Amino acid sequence: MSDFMSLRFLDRFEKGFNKVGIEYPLLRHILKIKLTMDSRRIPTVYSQQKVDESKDKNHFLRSLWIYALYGLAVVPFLFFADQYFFQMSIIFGVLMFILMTSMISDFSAVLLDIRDRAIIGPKPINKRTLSAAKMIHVSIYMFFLTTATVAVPLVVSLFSMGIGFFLLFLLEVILLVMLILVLTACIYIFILRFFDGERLKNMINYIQILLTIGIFIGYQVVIRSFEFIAMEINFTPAWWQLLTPPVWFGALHEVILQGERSIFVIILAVMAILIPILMMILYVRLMPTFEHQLQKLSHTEVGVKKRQAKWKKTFVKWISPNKEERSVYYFARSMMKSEREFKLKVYPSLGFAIVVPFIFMFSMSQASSFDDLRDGNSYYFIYFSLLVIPTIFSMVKYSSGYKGSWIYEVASIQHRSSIYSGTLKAGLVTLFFPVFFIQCIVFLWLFSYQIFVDLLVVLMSSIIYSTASLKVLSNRAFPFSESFSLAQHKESGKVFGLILVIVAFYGLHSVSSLFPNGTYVYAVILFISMIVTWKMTFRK
Amino acid sequence: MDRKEVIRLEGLTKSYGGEDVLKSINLTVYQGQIVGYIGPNGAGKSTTVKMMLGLVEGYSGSISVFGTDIQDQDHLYKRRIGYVPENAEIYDSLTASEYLAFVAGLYGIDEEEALDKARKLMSQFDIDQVIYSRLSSFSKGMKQKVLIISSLLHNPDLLFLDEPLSGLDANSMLVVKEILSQLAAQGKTIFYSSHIMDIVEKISHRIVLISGGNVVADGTFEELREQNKQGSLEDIFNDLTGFHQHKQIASEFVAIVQGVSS
Repeated sequence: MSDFMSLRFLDRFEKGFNKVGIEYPLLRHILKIKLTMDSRRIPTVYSQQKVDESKDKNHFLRSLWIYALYGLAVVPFLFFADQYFFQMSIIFGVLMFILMTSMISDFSAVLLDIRDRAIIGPKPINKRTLSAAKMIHVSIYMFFLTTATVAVPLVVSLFSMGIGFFLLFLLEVILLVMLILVLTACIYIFILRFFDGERLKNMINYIQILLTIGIFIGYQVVIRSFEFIAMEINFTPAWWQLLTPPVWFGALHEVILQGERSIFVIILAVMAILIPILMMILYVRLMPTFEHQLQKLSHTEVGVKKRQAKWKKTFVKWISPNKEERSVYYFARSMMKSEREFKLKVYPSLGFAIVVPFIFMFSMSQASSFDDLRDGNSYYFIYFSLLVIPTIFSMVKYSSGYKGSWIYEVASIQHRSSIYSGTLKAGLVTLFFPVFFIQCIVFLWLFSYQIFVDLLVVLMSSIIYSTASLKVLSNRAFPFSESFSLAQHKESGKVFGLILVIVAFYGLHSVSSLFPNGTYVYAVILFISMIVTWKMTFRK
Repeated sequence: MDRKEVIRLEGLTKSYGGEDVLKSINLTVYQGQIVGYIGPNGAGKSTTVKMMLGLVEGYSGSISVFGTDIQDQDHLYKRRIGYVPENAEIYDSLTASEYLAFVAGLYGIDEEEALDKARKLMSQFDIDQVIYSRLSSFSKGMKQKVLIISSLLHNPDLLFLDEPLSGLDANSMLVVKEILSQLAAQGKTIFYSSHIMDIVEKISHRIVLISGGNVVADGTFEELREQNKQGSLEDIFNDLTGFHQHKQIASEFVAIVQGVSS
């Protein structure tokens, strides 16, 4: 076992930990083991590919470049006019969004892990130490993730804005991370207080969806705080700005570097410093309660047999006439609906997929009035909902009960391809289509029936796209046959590439619309290629 | 003889979702006893053990371990306890040596010392050749051996073993049984649950049977046999838990398998 840099760094605070009732040697001991485990890929039960066991690698750390890429996106704002307030509010809006969403989808699993209770719980360790270990475990990853995201903007700010700006920016990032960590944990504490058992597990997913939507809307709100009047950007105070952390950080910058002295802005600036610190203190107090409530996650309730509507059965029979494929379909559907970790990772992006097209449509389209919008071609924004497809199919091969995958080998399945096609159909029907059809209804209402063919084109594109995503991302692994464990990050490169494919679909679609009847011709071509791709991919 | 009290449960009641799993359990265990804690599936055996370890909270009644109520003492009483959990829960991406060093560290034992001890214990179980292999590649019996070792590294005074023999072959079982009786002879207290009745019958000084949330039998095997006029512990178990229809259930089951409607 190698010694970890992060632990050597922590050693400096040993006295501080001891002071607040945390047994540092034990804390370090637990963290060391956790980090060792993270650096290992848990071998799959029946992996067809050769696994390189020679070196311990942390897939999470190897995937950080994607966050550096996100970080690049905020750099332009650093040069945007000479308005610290506006710039920093936007930058923190974006950062908060990136960090909070990854915190929720990637680290909820760590925060809500109950295995520790069974293994470490019976040992002589006080609860505070155990919860602190958990918190620091997450923080170490948050640190890397944050560093990867903000490194480039920070360095750029050092050279373009000077040392003062840089230091303040750094301090604010630290406060922001504290705020995010505690906020996430507090939300969980809050839900765990009032709900238990299965209900709670479902709740967490809905909360995640809501949070994702909330953060996104919040981002809009931040932008609306500033009025663009002839290249001048003016801040208009309003009470709800007290609830938007990015604005606090913007205000802090304004107060310290620009000497802004209006009371309201000073209040916002003080909040930027005070709230994260207060919440951290609150969290330390609540930690034992949190751990105690986690116990509820392990309770099981007696399930109720769910009756399936007849039309649903008929529908599934129709889309999946093959019996073998159909049973995989039902299996995959139940897994997607009940596997907690899968839901933790996928459902937030479903919520995202619902709102993103609309938000972009209203904020990015050039239409000045509602009628203009309806006559325009902003319906192409529906392509954004396809973003959820790579997420679904990159996750579908993981399961916390991955060891159960021996069943694939034991059961005499005639065509392996039906395992994949069944999973694909289940993923589309249970996860993607509900989101997509809701959007179609709203879009049809907005843009009238004339876009019907266009929506059909998007639908067929999405099916082709899903087939490709599953093919690219499955790596020949069976669905639900590998362990989670931060492993999904190794796919971020592929996912990124797949996102570019959406752009290609959009491009072809919009080019085809330039010709008379071009969309119809394109639709026919897509229909044929959909069938060809399907047959090729799922050859018996 | 002055016997030292190790565990005392008084009026212990626990309910999940409005249903009482344990209904006012009273039980005192003395030093050096091997107590077989048995009962049907879901009778609350594991819950009782978890409560004594402070893993399950929200109960009424009192639990005293080593003479003091666990509510009134800090977590350090767990230093004198060894525990083998029921579902072989283990961090299986670690190697055996890493896992054992980790557990020893949690009990405050020096790593070198613990590894030395672990290696010796593993070679007694004849699994020392896999000490540097990942636990995920271990068979169920091998994992169980590692868990048993991990529960003993710190030389505890009290052992809680939840299904300690599951997955072990007959020879290893024999070894573990002998280890338990020698440990008890040295004054260690062992509280274990198992479904293998002939083993419970043979090694326990005292058998506690719970059913429907109550202690329905408590005593040595001989005492239970006299009270119930049954031959084996299995018969006593069936009798006391009110289970007599095994033949009928079996024949119906087979009929369903063969597709014959009964």
